[in-house]
Amino acid sequence: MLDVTNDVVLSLRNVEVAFPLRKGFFAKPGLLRAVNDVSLDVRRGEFISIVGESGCGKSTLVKTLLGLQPATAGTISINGKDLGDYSRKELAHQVQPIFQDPYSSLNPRKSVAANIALPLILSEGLKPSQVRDRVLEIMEMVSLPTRLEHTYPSQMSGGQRQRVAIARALITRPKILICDEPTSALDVSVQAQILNLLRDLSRRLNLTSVFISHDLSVVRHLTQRVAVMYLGRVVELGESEHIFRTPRHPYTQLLIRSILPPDPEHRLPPVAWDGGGPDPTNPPSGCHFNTRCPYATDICRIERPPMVEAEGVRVACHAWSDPEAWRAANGEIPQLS
Amino acid sequence: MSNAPAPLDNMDLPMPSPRQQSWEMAKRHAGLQIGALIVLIALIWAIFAPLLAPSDPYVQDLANRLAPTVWQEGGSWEHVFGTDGFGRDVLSRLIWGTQVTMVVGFGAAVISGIVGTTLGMLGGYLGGRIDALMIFVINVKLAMPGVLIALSLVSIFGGSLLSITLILSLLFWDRFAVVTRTATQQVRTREFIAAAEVSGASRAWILFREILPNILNQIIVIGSLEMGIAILIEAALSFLGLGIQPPTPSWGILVSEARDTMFFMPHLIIIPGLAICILVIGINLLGDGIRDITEPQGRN
Amino acid sequence: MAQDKDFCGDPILSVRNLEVVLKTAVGELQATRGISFDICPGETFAIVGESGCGKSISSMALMGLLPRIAKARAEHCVFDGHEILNMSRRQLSGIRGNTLSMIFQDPMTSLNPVYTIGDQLTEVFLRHGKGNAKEARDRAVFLLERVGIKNASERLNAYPHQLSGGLRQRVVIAMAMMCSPKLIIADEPTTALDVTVQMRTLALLSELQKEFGLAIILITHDLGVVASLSDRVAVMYAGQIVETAPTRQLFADPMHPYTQGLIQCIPSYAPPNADAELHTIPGMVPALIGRQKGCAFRNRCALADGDCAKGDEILMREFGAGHGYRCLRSEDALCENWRSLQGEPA
Repeated sequence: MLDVTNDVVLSLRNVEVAFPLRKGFFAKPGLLRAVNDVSLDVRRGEFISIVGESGCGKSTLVKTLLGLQPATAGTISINGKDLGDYSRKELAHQVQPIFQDPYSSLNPRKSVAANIALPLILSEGLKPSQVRDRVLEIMEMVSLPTRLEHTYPSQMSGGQRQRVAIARALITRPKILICDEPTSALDVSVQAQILNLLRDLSRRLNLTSVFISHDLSVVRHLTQRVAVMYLGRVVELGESEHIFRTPRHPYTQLLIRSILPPDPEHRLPPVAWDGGGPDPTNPPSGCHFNTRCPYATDICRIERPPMVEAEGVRVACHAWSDPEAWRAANGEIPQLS
Repeated sequence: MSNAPAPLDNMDLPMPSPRQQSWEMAKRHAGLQIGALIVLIALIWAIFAPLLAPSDPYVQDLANRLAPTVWQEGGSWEHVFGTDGFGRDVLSRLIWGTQVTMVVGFGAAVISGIVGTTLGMLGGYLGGRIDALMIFVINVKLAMPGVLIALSLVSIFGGSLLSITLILSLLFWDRFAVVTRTATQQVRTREFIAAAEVSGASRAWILFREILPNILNQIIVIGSLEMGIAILIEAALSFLGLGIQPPTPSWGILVSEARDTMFFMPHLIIIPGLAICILVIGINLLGDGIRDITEPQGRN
Repeated sequence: MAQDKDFCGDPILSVRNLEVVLKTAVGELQATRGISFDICPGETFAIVGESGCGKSISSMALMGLLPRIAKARAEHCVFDGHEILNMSRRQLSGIRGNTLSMIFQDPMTSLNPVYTIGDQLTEVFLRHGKGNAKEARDRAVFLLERVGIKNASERLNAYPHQLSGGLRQRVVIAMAMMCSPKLIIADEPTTALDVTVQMRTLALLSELQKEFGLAIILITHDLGVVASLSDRVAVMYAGQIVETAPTRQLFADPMHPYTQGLIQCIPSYAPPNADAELHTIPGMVPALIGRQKGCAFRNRCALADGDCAKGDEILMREFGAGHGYRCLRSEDALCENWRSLQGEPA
């Protein structure tokens, strides 16, 4: 069992990341709230997933967690200390990324060893021989033969490159890994190798991982807690198993219904176009999901639902704020059919 | 067994290293080889001019003016390309003239390359107001009639080798800036840049150690084009009497001096003209060839 | 061979021994060798495989879209009664967009950004002489509504950049259907789309297929897509079809070790055993330089032996109606392998 202690390694409180929008020369500048009031605690050793589709804000959240994009409101703290208080070099020892595209996450003009060593060179003043030792050590840890030291990324397959990216992320011995869709661009058989590797390393090094993905079957297999995001807000948060077995938020239910299992008995539901994802620069009022929600009522269009605790899971949905009242008023409570 | 990490034996590399690939391609690239040969000859002529030239290019021999070339009637191996209107050996003047050509061409390309690339990278990477400023400066430069300004500057500062090189380098930096700005913008969205930023790379590091090696290709191509153009403009300036002053042998001057004898001794004008032509083509072929063989061997 | 028999009475597309070779700087790359399949009218035939298996390049060969460095040849490649592989450009353009159309993966680049949706939809109709401008417009509106785009007649004047990815892909589907094709080749049509949009787009394709009676070749790497949508499947590995079967059969009794491994390594939807690791196929796809011999999967296969390296090609064996696989091992050994793979935790 993955060792999950109770100390909180990463904490987000009411984090907002907003960008000014110019809507034409004479219009008032609008605001794109890519990340909108997100609160989250991540415990040491935990694998937490952030799930959502395009426009949900997960890419912006990744940048913010890596310190590349300052939050416009709210606080982010790592090991109790505010993100902004860390120097860049210190931060390199706390958080490291693994990106999605193995073809653009490595510098093609540098050898594998040079790519892997970069965070170490930038943040620690080690002698070249010491750097090399650390590089070889980490290469073995990710099952990359050390004879590949002087090869170039262009000679390698996607899976091998992703191992190089993982090695680079781990060389400074960070506490937190931010994995942004690390296997989405890989073949299925390679994906399995990399996921096993991530899980194995996470255990050995007692890493905490924030795992962003749109692939719910990977999420279910690998992570313990899930946060579902929609247009910048967290709409559901809780243990993976609870969320997958009984999803509460209608958007989560929609996501789960959209999974295509490798099972020929699975039938595609009849097509019902719901207008698709709305424009993030002009989100619907009240609950952002109301335009696509089969259970939406008036209050959903006016008021933003608060985050409430419902049976061990946190949901932001008016129906779940007061289930009894909802059932009485509207009959049906959102559930996975 | 199926859960073990990939066995080491299976970690083969299907592709040879980029260096090997480039070398393989170079062996087959006719354009590159021809271009490299031409430029190499020009370099050798320029560097070893004192050793290679059969005679002093300045020494006049009025008794032996307009001597025929070795393939014409009455010619001799003493003056392979004959002599000019002052009896000076044409071949020697050609060889010595290579020095001027290469210094001006290479110098102008390098200086404008450094200036333009730096400005382009800064604008492309930093974005925002600095980029807006860069674009403004580039636009101002593009709006200016380059050659006209070069002519005026030459008339002010005179036609020494140094001043010509500097003035010509002022003409070309905008091309570098535009191309490197776009190339930088493309490279900066790649994830390895973000990874470097996360690890605390300074801006200078990112610009010169991460981005620059990845845009070098485009810089080389522009550089070779600009070098060719610089040589042509230098020749034109010399031809007009505004560039390098005689008796310093420059290919442009050779062309200019041969004007008077153009109709009855056409080889005097054709030879330097052909030399300019061949060298510029050679430089372009070389630049294209280098670009071809160093194209990022990207996706499998 | 299972597919040599006329599985379908009168196939709309029949391909025998398609070979595509690429001339590259590192040598000749055999992208596909000996691909053979039949497509029955009105069925969805999935070609599934990972990157480099040759699935996309085979469809490019059929459509005449191969790059210059590629050469294709086959015993025959008959579509709707015509031999299409080495047709002249002129003849081919009479078929492409007309009776045979293609849907590509990236909706962002499939549409020309400088023309309106309406222009692009009607153009294909008019070019194949299917009617006049008004008829073209009517059909465009009809199809746009059918793919679920509201206010279709107004949308005709929209430009591609004004639509989201999911909408664009639906327009591309409508465009593929303008001339009532008999066969659509869909190359990873939903890979670039969001999950919720993907499901709906696939459901749409399924409905359109039943309604208009067209056949679809669905090229994908996603076994979930295969399971939900296709009637029959061909599994490709390193340029060869290693197994082909009706979809239900493939998932119930996969025979080829690669197919078995592939199905097993998907993080399945079933509740996981928290400690379990995903099944993996060790190693990686081999480089396909030069003439290939024997079984391409042998250096990753737990059941391989010396015989697997010999011979030009391992022949397809039959396991039941329409179910063929390319492996030298006995049926019992393969069934046993499948059972043991399934018995593993998770």
